[in-house]
Amino acid sequence: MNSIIQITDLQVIRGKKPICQVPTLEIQPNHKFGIVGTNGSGKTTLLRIIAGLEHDFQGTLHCSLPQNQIGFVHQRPYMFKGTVHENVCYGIRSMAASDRDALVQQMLESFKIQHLAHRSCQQLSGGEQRRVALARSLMRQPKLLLIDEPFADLDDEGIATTCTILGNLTQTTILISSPTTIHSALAINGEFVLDSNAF
Amino acid sequence: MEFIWNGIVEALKLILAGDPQVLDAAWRSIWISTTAVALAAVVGITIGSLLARANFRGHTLLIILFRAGMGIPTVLIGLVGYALLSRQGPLGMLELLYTPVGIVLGEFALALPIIVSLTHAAIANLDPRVHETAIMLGASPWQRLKTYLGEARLAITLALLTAFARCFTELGIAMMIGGNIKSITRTLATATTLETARGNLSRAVAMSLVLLLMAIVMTTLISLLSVPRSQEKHG
Repeated sequence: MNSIIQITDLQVIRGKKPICQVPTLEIQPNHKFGIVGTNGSGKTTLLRIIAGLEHDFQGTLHCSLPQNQIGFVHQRPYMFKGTVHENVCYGIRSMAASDRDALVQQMLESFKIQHLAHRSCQQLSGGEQRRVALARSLMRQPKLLLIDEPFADLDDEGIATTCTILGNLTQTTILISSPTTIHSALAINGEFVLDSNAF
Repeated sequence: MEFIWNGIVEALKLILAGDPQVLDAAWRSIWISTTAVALAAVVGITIGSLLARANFRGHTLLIILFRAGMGIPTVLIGLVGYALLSRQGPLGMLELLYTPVGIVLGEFALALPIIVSLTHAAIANLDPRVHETAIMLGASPWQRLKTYLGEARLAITLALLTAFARCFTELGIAMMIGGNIKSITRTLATATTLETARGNLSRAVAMSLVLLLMAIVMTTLISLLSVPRSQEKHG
């Protein structure tokens, strides 16, 4: 099967110090893949490189998808000024309003946050913002979804809901999470351990 | 002090009675400043946004020039404007000297660096995740620009109010390019100067009170908008 991501000898150096090293990494389509590692091991940097948000690295990265088919959710997602509904439909604004509203409603229901639709995003808790950001990213149906710490700030119900949604996703998903959560809560196809002691 | 107090009392009577000279100058000051700031907003917000997001040769120099332009004396703009619009000047054929349109052009030059610099600062200082989130959600360059302006709208509103306050109260441009012609180019600032020179203190104070009122309104608005709104969080 053709890999969707192929990385060889990737190294990121900031101020003469390596902050991320990946000898080889291949990710197959439709897989759920976890990136785990200690603080400062370069997990977020690796995710940002795959997303095309960082270009300053050595080695080779081959991604078979253009950036517009990749979804990315920050560790602390940015919420645009406005309501949850406005944020969730940000990526599909060119769609007819009636179709768009129906899709947004469906997405909010799947995340169990339909009651927040008309609430200002600035008034949401961290966990609620995280769920809105994930819903916003999924609205565009990306073929590759990159999520930085999707379970942080979530209560048990939030983790369960997010796991159910992530479990039902058919697209390739790469997520950063703690090993405990990633193994106990979500069925993943593989994981890559980044080690800060390696550099 | 008595003559000042009498001047204030007479001024209030003139304002309450709707003195045509005061109202005429006030109305002209408002529409000239509003037009100048509106034109400068269209050009300035565009340039400020581009400077915040694009990087090209001479980029830093342009930013420095616009920032330096924020403190440019109005008499200098008036002098340059006079030289350009006078009959012997390169733009003399437009016949805009001693016209309200001429003052609008001068105040446009006054407002532009303020709006460019403050818009640039507002957008350049946006959280980097605004740009990244917009990119990853497939926003086109035009959608991204609208997003930046939306996220920085408070700071941009402050820029417009600041530019308006500066234009509304300026004297040098209105005097040198407008010429202080009664019922044509006379603004509150030039009328105040003239009435004071004539010894008509009550009318001069009345004009000044209107200027002061506008300055207070603008400053209050700017102050209110500058107060960071507490972000209510729970959970």
